[in-house]
Amino acid sequence: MTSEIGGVKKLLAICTGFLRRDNISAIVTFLISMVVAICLVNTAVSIWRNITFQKDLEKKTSIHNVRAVGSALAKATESLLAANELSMLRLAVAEAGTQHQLKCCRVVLPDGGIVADADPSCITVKKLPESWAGNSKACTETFASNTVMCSFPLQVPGRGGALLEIAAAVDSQAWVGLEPQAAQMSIACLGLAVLWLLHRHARFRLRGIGAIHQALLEASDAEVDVTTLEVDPKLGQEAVIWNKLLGEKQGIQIRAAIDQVRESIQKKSEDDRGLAAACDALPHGLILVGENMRIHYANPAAAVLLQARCSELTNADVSQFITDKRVVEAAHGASDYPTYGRTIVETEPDGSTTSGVLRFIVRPVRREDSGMAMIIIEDITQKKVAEAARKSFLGQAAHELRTPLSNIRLYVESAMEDCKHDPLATGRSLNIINEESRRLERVVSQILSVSEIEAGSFQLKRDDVRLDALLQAVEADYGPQARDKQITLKFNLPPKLPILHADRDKISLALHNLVGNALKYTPQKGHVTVNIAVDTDQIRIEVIDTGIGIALEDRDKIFENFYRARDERVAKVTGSGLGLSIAREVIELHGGDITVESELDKGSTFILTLPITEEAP
Amino acid sequence: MTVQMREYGAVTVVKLDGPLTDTDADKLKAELLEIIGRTLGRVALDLSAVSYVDSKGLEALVDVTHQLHQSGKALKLCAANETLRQVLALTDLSTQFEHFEDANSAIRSFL
Repeated sequence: MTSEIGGVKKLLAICTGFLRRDNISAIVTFLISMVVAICLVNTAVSIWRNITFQKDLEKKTSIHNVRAVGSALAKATESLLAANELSMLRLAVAEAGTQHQLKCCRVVLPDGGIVADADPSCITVKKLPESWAGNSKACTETFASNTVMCSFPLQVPGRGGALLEIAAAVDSQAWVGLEPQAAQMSIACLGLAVLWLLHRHARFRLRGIGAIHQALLEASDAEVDVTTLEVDPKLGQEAVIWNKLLGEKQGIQIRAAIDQVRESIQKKSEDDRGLAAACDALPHGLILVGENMRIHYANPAAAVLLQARCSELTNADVSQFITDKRVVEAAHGASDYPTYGRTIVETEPDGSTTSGVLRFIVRPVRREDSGMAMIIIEDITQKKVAEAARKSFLGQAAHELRTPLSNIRLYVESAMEDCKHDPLATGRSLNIINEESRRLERVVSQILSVSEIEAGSFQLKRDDVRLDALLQAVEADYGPQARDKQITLKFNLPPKLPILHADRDKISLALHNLVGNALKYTPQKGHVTVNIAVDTDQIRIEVIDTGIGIALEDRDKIFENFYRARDERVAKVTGSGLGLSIAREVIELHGGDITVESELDKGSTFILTLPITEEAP
Repeated sequence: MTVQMREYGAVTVVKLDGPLTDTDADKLKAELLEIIGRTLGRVALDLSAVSYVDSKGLEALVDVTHQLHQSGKALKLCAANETLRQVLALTDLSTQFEHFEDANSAIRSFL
């Protein structure tokens, strides 16, 4: 049973294979051939039947003719024999043989003698006997090789019997009238032959087309490799062209893939270029270090901060340019053991903040194939300086605040103890407390001014300022102090001073600081002179004293916050070290400047310049 | 033109006094580049007392700022007057520099 099912399946498979699309053309060809063959056989059978019928008809016609001729000739022969008219008989027989195309026509006596014959040479009886023995036989008909032989018995009255033998060829004109069928037959055979040739040719050609058709069906099913769709080039020109088209398609696919890859590479290249340009534009230094501690990339900022050229940095050992071992070790560690951690190192290349304080941030760069380290270099010099200044400022401010506060607390306690039994001491303590409170107020005010300057909120409130009135107020304020120290305070004003567009309070603060400092650091019986000169575009105010002077190394630093010259005479005078810093800031905000010329132990000259323009920058 | 340099912490403020013209441009450029190399670019140029800049002066300033561009920075100009600002705007060079109202703001920008 199983073998039967298998056989059926095999048969179905064969039929299915046979009925596949690529065999349809062969089937059609086969069916046409069969139809033509059937028609051809049918025609052949028809012709054969016609020929047979024609033959039979011819035979019957011949027999009928022979019979008719024989009957007529037999009667005539009996009469002529009876009348002994041999010459007439022989003439009639000869005429019958000639006219009816008889193969044999003779009159034979029972003894075999031939009385008359279509061929006169065959006559054996020259003279007719009077009588002879023998009777006539029955009429017979025989056929042999397309010849019909008929014997007619004759009864000659008074003489005896005889026999008329007539033989005639059956007319073999069987093909007569069959020419159209023969022509059709020939044409059909020729057509069949042509069809067969065409089929052979078409089958050869169609094999290639069938293979191409099959490849097309496979190509439509899914994405297939083009090379698997190629067909045998021996299958014909179509197969060659098909393979050529496939080759072109493959070429197009390859070119498209190449274009895609090229586009991808170009896009990546553009991305890389954009990334490199962005890295190049970074204000911070950026260095990429490989596992071998070689620098793969360094941006220009890194080159500037490391004081080298980019070309020198690339492919160089990182330790050649970064001398701090902590940075190098961090970069090495980051390369060997990639983590998300980072290492921050702040270093001063040559130990001074002048050249810069650099902050190195080392981070690993994760990559599949290798570990790299990224070093970000930041110039934090100014931040460090500002931080140090802030710390110093806070320390100095705390000191400046603590000193008067300590004095105030001390004299308050003293006043509380002396208030009942020593009113004079109490008054003295209260006076000191008052002075220290004012000092504290000044320090707090100056610290606030410095804080405003540091915070950038030190705003000018410009207005028309009459400089002569301002200077008179300064003179009035410091006149008593000068007289107490027996110092000559002199203001040399021009006849007319312009009106300034400035912040009255801030300018006043700066002038008070300059004149106050001159009086503070000028010993008794000294001179403090204030000269004012007006140029076309600026006012020049000189504060000249005959004080202790300023050492050369201190001249630039005295304008820094809380800085006080390292002179014992300066230390004896109370001061916060903020006055000149504030004065310079104020004047610079007005677009002017303060400079100093000094000679130690002889005196100093502070030169203040202010622009006259109404709309100062 | 006179050039006055003053240190504010780690920042060097270069104050120019007078018109920046042909004769002074090369000298100023050399000085600025020297300071930039020494201070790693911590420089600000105070133009409050500069009334006029000619083409040579502009060229010097542009050369210096291009030098700083290579390290992602730009020359910081302080207190440029209206004339200078217009010159920079008309020559389409304004974007080549960082501008500050005064030197103090420029110094703070380094923090």
